[in-house]
Amino acid sequence: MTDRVILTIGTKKGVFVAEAAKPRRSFALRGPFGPGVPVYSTLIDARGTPRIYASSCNPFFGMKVLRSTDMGKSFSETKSAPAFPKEDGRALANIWALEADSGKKELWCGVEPASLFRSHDGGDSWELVPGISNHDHARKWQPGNAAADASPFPGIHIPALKPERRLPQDIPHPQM
Amino acid sequence: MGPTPTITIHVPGPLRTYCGGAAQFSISAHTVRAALEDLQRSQSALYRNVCDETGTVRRHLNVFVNSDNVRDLDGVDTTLRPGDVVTILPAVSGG
Repeated sequence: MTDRVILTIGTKKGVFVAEAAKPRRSFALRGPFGPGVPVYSTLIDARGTPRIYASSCNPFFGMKVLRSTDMGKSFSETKSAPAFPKEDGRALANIWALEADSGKKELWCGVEPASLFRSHDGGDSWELVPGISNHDHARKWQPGNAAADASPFPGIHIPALKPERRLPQDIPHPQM
Repeated sequence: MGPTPTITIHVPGPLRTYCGGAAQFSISAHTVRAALEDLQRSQSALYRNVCDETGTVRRHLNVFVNSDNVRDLDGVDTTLRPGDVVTILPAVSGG
């Protein structure tokens, strides 16, 4: 099988998938999928059966997680999206981050308002991670360096799963 | 309180995929709130698109009873009468 290069591109008009042969001289573009709806996070999950995930953040009808099992030729919604328990009082405003964990179907999802969700079944069901989501200060966290047109409310944008996945410049050097 | 009135709910095109393609259906409810609660039970996928986790109608959606936005009436506590038409209508903007 010929090696292929796949790129996912989240835009305000949906998610695009670009595919090229390994030399990357030209890309074929597919999409948009989830047309007309902003996509702030995508994830190419190459563990086991390859899957592509995209957050579909619809300001009218709420948040969805899209999944492709054919390398971005088609997408469909997962059975459910992250959602706060009704008694929590918070409502999902955006999905900012999707990350894969060690289990083949384990996913993390960082959202606004600042909270973290986890899935054990490839995004079909989600549970709130209470340790950080219900932290005493969680409802007071301030936003960081948000883009001018982004939400002024805090969210979890980059779950750093394990120390070895941290960027080298982020790893503190020992004091000499 | 009299018999529960039967009303018609109109579903906007983008949401019909969440209720088997139906453009409208009839339910029995005394108020808009009760109609939404009925939706939550009978059309949960559609309901999640209309209301958020707290049960609040999503910010950019409007609910009309006949020709009146419920925001100009009693909100989700607006009383329904037999034959009323409840329309879920996304806001439109542009420029």
